[in-house]
Amino acid sequence: MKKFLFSLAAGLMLGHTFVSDAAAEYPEKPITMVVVYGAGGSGDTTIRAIADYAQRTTGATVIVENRAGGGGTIGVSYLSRAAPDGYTLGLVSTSPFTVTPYFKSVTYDPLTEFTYLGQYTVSPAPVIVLADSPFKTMEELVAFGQANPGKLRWATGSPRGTNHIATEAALRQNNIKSQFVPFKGGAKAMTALLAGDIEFAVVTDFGPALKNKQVRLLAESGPNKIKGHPDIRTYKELGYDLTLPIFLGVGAPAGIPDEAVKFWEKVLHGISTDPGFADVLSKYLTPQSYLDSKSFTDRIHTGYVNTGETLKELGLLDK
Amino acid sequence: MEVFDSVMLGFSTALTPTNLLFCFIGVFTGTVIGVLPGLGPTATMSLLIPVTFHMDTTGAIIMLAGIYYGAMYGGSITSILVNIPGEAASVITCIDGHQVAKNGRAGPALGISAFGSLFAGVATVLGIVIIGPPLAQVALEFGPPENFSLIVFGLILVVFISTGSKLRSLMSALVGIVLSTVGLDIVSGEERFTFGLPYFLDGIHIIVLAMGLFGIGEVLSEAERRQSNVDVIAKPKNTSELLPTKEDWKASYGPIGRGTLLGFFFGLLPGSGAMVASFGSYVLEKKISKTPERFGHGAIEGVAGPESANNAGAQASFVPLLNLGIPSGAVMGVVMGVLMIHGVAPGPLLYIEQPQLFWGVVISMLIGNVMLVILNVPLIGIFVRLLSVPASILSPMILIICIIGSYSLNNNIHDVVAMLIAGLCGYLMKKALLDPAPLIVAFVLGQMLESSLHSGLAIGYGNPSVFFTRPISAILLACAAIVIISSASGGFIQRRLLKRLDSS
Repeated sequence: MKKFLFSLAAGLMLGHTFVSDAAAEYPEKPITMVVVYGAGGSGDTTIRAIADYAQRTTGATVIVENRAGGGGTIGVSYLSRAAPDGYTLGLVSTSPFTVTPYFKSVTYDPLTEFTYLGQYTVSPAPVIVLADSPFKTMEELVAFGQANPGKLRWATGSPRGTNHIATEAALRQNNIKSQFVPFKGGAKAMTALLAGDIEFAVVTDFGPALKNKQVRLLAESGPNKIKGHPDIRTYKELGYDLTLPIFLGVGAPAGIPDEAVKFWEKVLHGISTDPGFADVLSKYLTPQSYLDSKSFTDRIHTGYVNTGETLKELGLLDK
Repeated sequence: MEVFDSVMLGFSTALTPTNLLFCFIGVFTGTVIGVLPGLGPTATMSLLIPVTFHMDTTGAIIMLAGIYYGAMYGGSITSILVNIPGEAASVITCIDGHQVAKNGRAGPALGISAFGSLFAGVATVLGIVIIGPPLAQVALEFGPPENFSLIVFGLILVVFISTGSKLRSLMSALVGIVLSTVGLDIVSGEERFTFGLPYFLDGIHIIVLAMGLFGIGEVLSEAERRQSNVDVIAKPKNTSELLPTKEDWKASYGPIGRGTLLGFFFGLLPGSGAMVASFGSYVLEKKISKTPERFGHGAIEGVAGPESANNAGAQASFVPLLNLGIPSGAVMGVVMGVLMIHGVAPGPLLYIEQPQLFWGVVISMLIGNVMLVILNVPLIGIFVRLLSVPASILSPMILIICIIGSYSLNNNIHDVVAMLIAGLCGYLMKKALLDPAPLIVAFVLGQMLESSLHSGLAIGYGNPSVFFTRPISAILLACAAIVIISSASGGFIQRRLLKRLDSS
């Protein structure tokens, strides 16, 4: 109870409760973590859990701020313009850093304008159908799409996001002309699926619906197996060219001080073995997957370049 | 019997000392942030997400629910007193609420708003208890095509919400629709009306627009008026004038009842919730009123309806979340996140596996609403005294509240600039006798109109017949057609009737 009242007070005062008094040692003032999506989703919840962990273990004050919009690009563009002093960090996710820049003019460069501090998870983004759907396998879905041009209706949480592009590529590879239904937000896509208005959806926040047996999994659009579902094949196993991992990590503007990089690498490494955090992640069926600053930077840089090449090969880019 | 058991389970869960405390913390926090413009329920609840890590699931949801419907109470206070909406669902209350206050009757307006909300809150809980979880299915019946037709119907009624000429209100509504298209096109990703400014990529925020049009617009006209008439707001003479009169009650029964029904219904639909419910209620009351010309000049019905609707809507929106796993908007998205952190998967099984969570939260709303009335009604006297503050002090205060409020939305200075520009426009619109009400309603509906048209068409394989072949959608479009035909031919039928009466 005491703990609760304390955190309530801390929360309401935006975390301005106390500032570490150790002089000239990072962090000497509150740190802001920018979430480039709205509150309540997996990216937001996990960043808040990390902020909570950092406050508990280091005594630093961490404030979480949502700057949603434009499929994450508005928040990322804000992050790129922030002072590189290590006091403004942000959520790093697949779409705005490796996919969206190919489809929309953005004001940042994923290759040069950011310091990537570490990755903490890779989320699944499966192809889901209603529990009573006639489609039992991905092959049946593909066969229906091929036999009925324009009749296969599907949706994702954000048009031209990673899930949309990867699956569009897979459908084209199978010569399917499909009907993509645009929705703003995964919740609306889920609603349309449950109402039977679309045939399938590709979303990350599918955990509750699966647990409630409302939906069934047909395939995983990323390269990794879904934890606890070894029989569900990935796009890679199905032979599709574009398989994009939905990673989540932490980043900052390029050129932040070394001590800030070390501080956050330590926090992210620490949380990667924290059972409480594993528990938070397991709610989204996503495993702990830690990468340090260097490996995460490599992943994003090569991911960004390779995605561009694959998109060109598949004829998905008009540039 | 099953209903009785559920209710008893709900009471035994909600009445534990800790849950009572969480309920109180929730409704109190909700009232406070409802009063503060800018800091809405979504922002507050997300700030509290880490706090809920250490709480029991039911207690956490009871607290978050309290914040949401508590904000519905608090939001009306600033709308009525100073013409600044405390949060989005109280935007429409500004229109008549503040006029009522100007007539020296702020107390009754606050009272009706509090008691209307209480009635709506209690009735909503009863509705959930009686009809129960199957209610959530309504959310699935309303797909994008149905939403599209509902909005078309709503937009047609919007033209009738203004008191002035139909042409002027149509103009105002069209400006609202144009403003709603600012930002990224959801289908093509193209930038529209952004003038190359990144600020506009995500569109204009409703609170920024409303605070400017109503709050700042008011300050500017006040500054002008002061030269001719120093004491603009009439003060209540004695305490008996602080409470609603018999006439107020008589005028409000209907709007409260209809507002509750409407709020209940909209709360169940995905993507609309409390805000659209309050707008809908205002439009409806104005349309069916025998004296629509009073609206905009201090009709108490314009407070009673929307304020009941937003409370009912806030509470009802928990039903599709807890029973289908469908969050109807940003606020429910946060609640869903908290549930997931606690390992609770909202959906059809939640009600069966964790009935104490579902019924505990529902019954806590009953208790929370009573707490809110006890908390709010004694404060009416104090709130009303705020109006005795001379305009020379109150106006700068409003200006500061609007600036802080718009800044605190996203910690973005551009929101402040946009809000001030909207304020200037609000003032000029007043000068040009253009009513800002149709603008703000059309602005909200316009965004939903476009996205539901896009996704509705896609669901119908690109064929517009989908809007006419799905029964609910077809009925709504027929209603819209009837309204247009009846008002266009209204004069004609009237003349025919008069002729017949003359001849007989």
